[in-house]
Amino acid sequence: MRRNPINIELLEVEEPGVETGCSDWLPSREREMQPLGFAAPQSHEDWSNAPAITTQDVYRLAAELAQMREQISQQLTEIQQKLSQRREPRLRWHRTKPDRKDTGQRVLRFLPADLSPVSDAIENSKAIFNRPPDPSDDLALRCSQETWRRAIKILTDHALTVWEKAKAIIRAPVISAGPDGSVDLYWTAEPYGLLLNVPADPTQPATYFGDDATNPDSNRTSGKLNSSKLIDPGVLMWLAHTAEQ
Amino acid sequence: MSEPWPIEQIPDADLLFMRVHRNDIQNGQPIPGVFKNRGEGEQEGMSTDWSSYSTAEQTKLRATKPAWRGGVIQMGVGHVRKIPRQTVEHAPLLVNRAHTNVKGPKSGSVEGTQARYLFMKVWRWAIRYEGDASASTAA
Repeated sequence: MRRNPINIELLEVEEPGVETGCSDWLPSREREMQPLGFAAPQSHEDWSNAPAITTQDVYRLAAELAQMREQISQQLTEIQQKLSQRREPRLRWHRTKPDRKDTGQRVLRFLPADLSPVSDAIENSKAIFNRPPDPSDDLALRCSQETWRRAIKILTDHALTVWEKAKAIIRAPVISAGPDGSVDLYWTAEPYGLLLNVPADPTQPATYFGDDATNPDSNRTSGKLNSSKLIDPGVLMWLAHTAEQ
Repeated sequence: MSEPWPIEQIPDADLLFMRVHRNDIQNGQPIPGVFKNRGEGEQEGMSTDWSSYSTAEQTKLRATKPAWRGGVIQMGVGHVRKIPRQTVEHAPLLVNRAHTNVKGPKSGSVEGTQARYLFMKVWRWAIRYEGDASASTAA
């Protein structure tokens, strides 16, 4: 992919006496270079001194990627709305499901077809906030559409990240109403399992717990989701365990 | 209301029975949300029946709504007590000597989520719900 060149004048720090060895190297004010995510080593010594890519780097990049995806998704939605208002032909989205008119559809991200089990689970889970009152069930578990949306966003963010980074497809969770108006996402893929609970109060963090049945005392994960981060490393790692092999 | 029945100690080897409404069953299993507390104060807890004074069928028949449909699950008392911060307390009612509360957090915290995750590992069907046509007792 071609990137817009940037003037090296804004980046370069001249070191007197250092020769590049390139006879056709242009004067600094005329040079252009391509922006890179990491500094490109120029020699063997540079390679040995180059910082290793850490797990934190990977998580940071994953978070940035998810954020970019979210922005693009929003922009596409806005474009679609504008086109609809002008009564022009609608854009053809690569959706895993046909368009639905209900408001819950808007929360569905543009999931790849490979993630259709997750898309199907999301579609089927709309019943948990659309369910009509059942007089035989006075203790029925209920949740709001808003809480369901937050849960689905967490699910799709993590499913897409696992798919993009590891080309793995997470199993579809059981999506159900939980206690006190919360929403549960429950995965079982022996020997691994995970329960993630999204509370009704949007100011409270989602919590999760999972373990490995073959070694439950020492191989487990638990914690609270940081609302400022789209992806939680603990959840991400456990969902990768549950991915289809 | 505990009188007139005495409160007794429940052995680890006994069972607890609990009704599960058909709306709370997915893919033939109860959803994690069925493990929740009811009531307030001293009475707050997950309502179950102790096998010493109730059968699974009697627990099913205690559903107050005539149109109620669902199954009954069972949990070993010892297994429940191994779940962190969960306690099993006999709380007999005038009309139900078997009534037992499972106390401890089940929502709003990591501990609550952990507890419900672990409840999902210890339940078994006592009376499986198989639709409105029939129901059978599990082995």
